[in-house]
This record gives sequence, structure tokens and C-alpha cells, in this order.
Amino acid sequence: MRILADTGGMAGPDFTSIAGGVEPGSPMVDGAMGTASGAAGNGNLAGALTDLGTNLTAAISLAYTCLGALGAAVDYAAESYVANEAHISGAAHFK
Amino acid sequence: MIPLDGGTDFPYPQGDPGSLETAAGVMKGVATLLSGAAAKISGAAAQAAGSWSGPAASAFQDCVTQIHSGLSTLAGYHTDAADAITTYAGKLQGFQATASKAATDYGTAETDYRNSISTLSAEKQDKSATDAESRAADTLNTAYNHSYRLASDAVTDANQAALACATTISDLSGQAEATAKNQFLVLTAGRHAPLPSLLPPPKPGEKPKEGKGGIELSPVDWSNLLTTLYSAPAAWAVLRHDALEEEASAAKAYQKLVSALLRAGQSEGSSLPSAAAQAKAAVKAEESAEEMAEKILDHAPLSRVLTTSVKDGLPSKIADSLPDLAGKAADDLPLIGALFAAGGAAYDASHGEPVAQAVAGNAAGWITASLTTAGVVSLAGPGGWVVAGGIVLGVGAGMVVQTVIEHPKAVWHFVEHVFSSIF
Repeated sequence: MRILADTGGMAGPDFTSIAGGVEPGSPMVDGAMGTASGAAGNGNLAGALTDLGTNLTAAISLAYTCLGALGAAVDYAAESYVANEAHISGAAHFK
Repeated sequence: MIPLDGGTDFPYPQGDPGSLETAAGVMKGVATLLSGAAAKISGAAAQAAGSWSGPAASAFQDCVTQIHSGLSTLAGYHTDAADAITTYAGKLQGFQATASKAATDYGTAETDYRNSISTLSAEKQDKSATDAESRAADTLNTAYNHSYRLASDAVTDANQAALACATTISDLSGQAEATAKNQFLVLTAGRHAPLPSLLPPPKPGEKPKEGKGGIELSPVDWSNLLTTLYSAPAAWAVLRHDALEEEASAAKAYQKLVSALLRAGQSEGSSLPSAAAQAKAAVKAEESAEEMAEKILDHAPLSRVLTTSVKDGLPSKIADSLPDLAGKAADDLPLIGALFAAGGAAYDASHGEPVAQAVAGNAAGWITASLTTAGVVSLAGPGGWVVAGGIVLGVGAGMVVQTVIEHPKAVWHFVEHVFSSIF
């Protein structure tokens, strides 16, 4: 039995919404990096800012994926609880 | 770029401090969002932990800790990058002001020179006027050189500031890449913990599936357990019954042979008595087996059921028409195990378990327990261990079959992972 509480299919916390505003595709990071790169006035700095923007965007995208996975894990656990609860009840009845 | 160089061709530090400041402000906003997300995830994880425990929950909390740490680290990168850009923007602004002032100063010197030349031209042209013009030209030349050097130094200093900022940004870029790989990518690749997001998101109403590392065996099914508990000893009894029946039959035939030999020896007076004595001793040894066989042959109703194979329970026409392999299997599989398997499957199906899963789980337990027991019995293995081994394998087979049916994709991913690890 993986879920112990009597939630009966609890509504898990919404992990995906935690990253609101920085989800993949958000113009915030790209826009900031693009502005900084364009305003740098120096080739080295502009290139470094572009690289940083790429890596930060990738990291945020992966973080967003992980948060979504956490939410899915909680949902899955809740559903498993319901299934297990039915199974345990059945076993008790069988005895 | 903004033309603040006085309209001269003096060197001028390129860049837009205002846009840099704006970009830094946006990055600080992202840092705030990420810090807020890191704080929220702890609360959300605590909410889940309140109603979830066990190995899967522990793995989940490990993931949460890692993601929380990664989000905080990412927020720090944004803050550090914003600070570096702000610092550079401030310095750039100062150097641009220096270059502009140098250009402006030269412009003033140039104006002074033109005015001076104009005044001198209007006056009498003598040696003193020529000397004055020469001095004015020298002054302008000195002002040009001074302003040019100031502007050039400003550009050099601005480039050094940009280089320092680029070094910081590059370091942060490398760290961001490492964080992306080591704190997030490893999770999504399933190397540290199972994450369901590896599979496509479930459709509405569809049950989410596990990730590559997330296979959990279906729990022990009580009806499956009972099926195997009865199947293994029943299979042993079926096999033992058959063996004793053969022994009894052999003993009877042997006894007839010995009797015939004895009669022959007595009637003809030959040298058979010693051979007959040995045969008699052998017969005595067989008697115990014969007695056991007789007991089983005259068994009570309960033991009769226990020692009945599937083949015994079938109508003779059907039993005789079975192919060799099926006939042999039906002869070794205990009928009582089959009845328990059928009952267990019916019970599971009536209590919400999918029919295919209920039938397969119980049938796997029955067949595995029976055939394992029968197989080891045929190798003359010890009865107790044979039965225990049959039960364990039967329960395991039932769980595995149920897991495969319930999570086929996850099992397939697991098998792929194992093969790719080996080859």
C-alpha cells in the first residue's frame, strides 16, 4: 500500500503551476538576454550573453518538465491509492 | 549607437547602458519568480508527504529536494548575471561620458581656434599675427591629442569592463549548463528516480504510466496466493500418487514372478531357492510402497480430490483426444489448483480487477506452482522444498504476469533498458 492517508484520490498540489511565468517559451529570459546582447556593444560579451541565455532557457525548460513530472507522480500515486484501497478492501472481505 | 561623440571621429565606447539596465531588471524579475517557485515547491511537497509514504514517496521527495535546489541555483545565476550586467552598464555609461566630454572639449578648443584665426585675419598681418596663429594651431593640436587619448582610453577601459562582464557571464553559462544537466536532465532521463513525464502526458481519464525506472510489481493477490498454496502440494500429491501406483503395480508383477520361480524350483528341485530367497527379500522391501499405494488407491474423498489431475477430471473422450504435450500437462496439473485458479479469477474479476489480468494472474500462479513442483518431483527432489519452491515461484509468476498486463509499456522500457545495459 503506497498511500496511507484517507484521501480517497486526493487532489494533489499543482506543481506545474509553480513555475508560472517562467515556463518554456516565455519571452522573459530570451528577451532579457537578447536585449542585453544587442546592447552590449562588445562581441565577446554579446556572445557570452547569448550562450548564457541558451543555457538558462534550457535549464528552465527542464525544470518545468520536472515540475510537471512531480505533479504527474502525485496524481499517479493518488490513483494508485484508490486502486490499492479497493484491493485491500477486497482482501479483507475475502478473509 | 547614440551619437554623443561630438560629431568627431574620436573613438567611442559602443553599447547602450539603458537597455542593459532594462535587461538586468528583467533578469532580476525572473530570479524572483524562480526563488518563489523554489519556495512553493517545498510547501507542495509537504502537502503530498502528508498523505503519501513508502519507497515511491521517498524517491518523490528526493526529486523535490533536487528540483528545489536547482531552482534556487537558477535564481542565483539570474541574479548574478543581472548584477554583472548592471555593473558593466554603469561603467560603460561612465566611459561613454568620458569620451563624450573629450569630444566636447575638443569641439570647444576647435571653436576657440576658429574664432582666434578669424580675429587675427581681420588684423594687420605681421610677424606677431603669424606667431599667434601658430600658437593657436599648437593649442588646438594639443587639445586634439588630449581628447583623442581620453576617448581612446575610455574605449579601452570599456572593453576591459565588457571582458570582465563576459568572463562572469561565461562562468555562469557553464554553471547553468551543469545545473541543467546534473539537476534536471538526470531526473527527466530517469537515472535517479522514476518520473512519469518521460511518457506522453495521459489523455483525459487515462491512468498515468510509470517512467523507465518506475516499474512496481503488482501487489500480492490473495486469491492468487491461495491458488498457488493449494496447487503446489496438490501437484506433488498427483505426481506421488502416480508414482506409488506404478510402484504398486511393479511390486505385484514382481511378486507374481517370484511366486512363479518358487513354484518352478519346488517342482523341479533345481538351484533356484537362493535366487528365490533374494527375490523374497526384495518383495518385502517393496511391500511398504505397496501398502502406501494401496492406501492412496483406497483414499478418502478429500484425498481423492487432492490427487486428481485435470486429465482425471475430464471426460475420457476429451482426455484421450488431447495432443501428447497437452495430455502430459493435463496429467501433471492438479484439478484442485485449477478450481482455485478459476475461483480466484472469478473473485478478482467480480471485485474490479480486469478480467484478463485476473485470469492471467491466477492461471500463472497455478501453472507455475504445479509444473515447478512436478518438474522437481520428477528429478526426485525433496518434497517439502519442492512444494515451497513451487509456491514461491507461483506467487512470483502471478505478480509478474499481472504487472506485465497492467504496465506493458513500462515493462517494455525496463526490458529495453536491461538489454541496452548488457549489449
